[in-house]
Amino acid sequence: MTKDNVAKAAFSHYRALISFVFFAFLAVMTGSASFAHKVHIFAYTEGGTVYTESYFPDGTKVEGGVVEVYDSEGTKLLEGKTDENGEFNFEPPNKDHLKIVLVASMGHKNSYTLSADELPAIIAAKKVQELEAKEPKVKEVSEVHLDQIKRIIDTSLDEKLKPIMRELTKVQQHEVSVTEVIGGIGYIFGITGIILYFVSKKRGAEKKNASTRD
Amino acid sequence: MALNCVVLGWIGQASAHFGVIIPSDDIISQEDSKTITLQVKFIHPMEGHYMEMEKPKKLGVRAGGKNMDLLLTFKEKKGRGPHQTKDFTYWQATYKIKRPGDYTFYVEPKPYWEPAEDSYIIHYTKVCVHALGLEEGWDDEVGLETEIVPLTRPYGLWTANVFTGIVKVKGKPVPYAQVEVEFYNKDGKIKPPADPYVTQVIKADGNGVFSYAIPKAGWWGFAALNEAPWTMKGPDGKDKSVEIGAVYWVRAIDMK
Repeated sequence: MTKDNVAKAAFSHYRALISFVFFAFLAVMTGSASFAHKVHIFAYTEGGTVYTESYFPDGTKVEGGVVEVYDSEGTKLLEGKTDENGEFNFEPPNKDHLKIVLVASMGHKNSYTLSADELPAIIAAKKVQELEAKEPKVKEVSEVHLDQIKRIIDTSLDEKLKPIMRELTKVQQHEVSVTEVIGGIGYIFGITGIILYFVSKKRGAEKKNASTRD
Repeated sequence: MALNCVVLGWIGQASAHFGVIIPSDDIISQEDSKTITLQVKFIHPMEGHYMEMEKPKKLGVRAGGKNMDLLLTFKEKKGRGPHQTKDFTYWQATYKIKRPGDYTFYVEPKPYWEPAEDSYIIHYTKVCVHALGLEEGWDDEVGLETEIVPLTRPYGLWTANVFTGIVKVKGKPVPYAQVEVEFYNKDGKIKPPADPYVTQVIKADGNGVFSYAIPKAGWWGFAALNEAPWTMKGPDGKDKSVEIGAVYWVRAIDMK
């Protein structure tokens, strides 16, 4: 009798767990329902910088999406996150074809290929650099300095932006967890109900037993 | 006016004039060339017949909420339809898509004198090109004298989809406007069994809204014709009425 109850309780617990998983899944689904469309990433170059924009078809910007940049051999060159305007900009490390991959939330993914011939400005810029490299060393030194300064600015900017990015991801995660919490509350109620049901049944049985003994 | 309508209706059934603006592609994906070619013509679409066209007064594109003039890019071209024995002038322009979004191209031709109708014809013609997944702008109004503003997204249409639009003159809907519909029978393969099949005629409702189910893959032209409140001096020096047409082109493909 008690073994049976335990088995039953275990089963209903298992069932509740399934329904909880289902609810959580549903919550995730409804969370992504507004983003039922594909995500897109667009890239263009201007003045030696590659600008990327990530968006949903209705114009909503992809915020906090991870942008990964690969070369033609599939080697990851760099990675970044889109800002509140869905933008992420970077200096292309070489003049190779660039595959720019956007990984948005909920498994949305898309990519944009910037072929080398779509990078005329950059190639030109590189050529200028190459030409300049042949010129006296003094200039080269100053260039290195500029590059270093740029790098320092970039890294410090990245570091300063990190907490903001973290906050953004937190906000996003929070949105999902609210629905999950509702699901969780339902789960708690369900479990409590089942437990109370069995407890009352057991008590009733005990009372019956007690009354027959009397 | 009533007589004029009857005359127009009769002419329309035999061979409707259509302003044409057809792009090399209506949906630009990232693998596609970002440079599109636009052909601007004045034709009888179902017959595939050309009419001589002067250099248009205006060619523009509306994108990102702004109108831009493109007239300088026009090139003169010659072409003829099936069964035509001589060449006619049409115009070609190229445009490089730079950003994602919807691009509504519009053309305003010079008035075309049509002796058969004893009036001038001006077809304000539009087409929408979608680029790189950002579906924004196709329902924008350009602000032409008369225009069809789509209520159905005008790209990504399957054969048998219903195309819905609103006919406007000076930005106001035209109740019960008449809309002529023609297939661009470029190679002359389609042989309409009777005149009413050449130009299909529908009327808008009281709000100027019309719909049409597209029966075949290809380019389809919708022309809402109205008489302008102004007149122009004809070749004989007399005041002549002006037919202002709002034309919109959409492309459907078969579901495969």
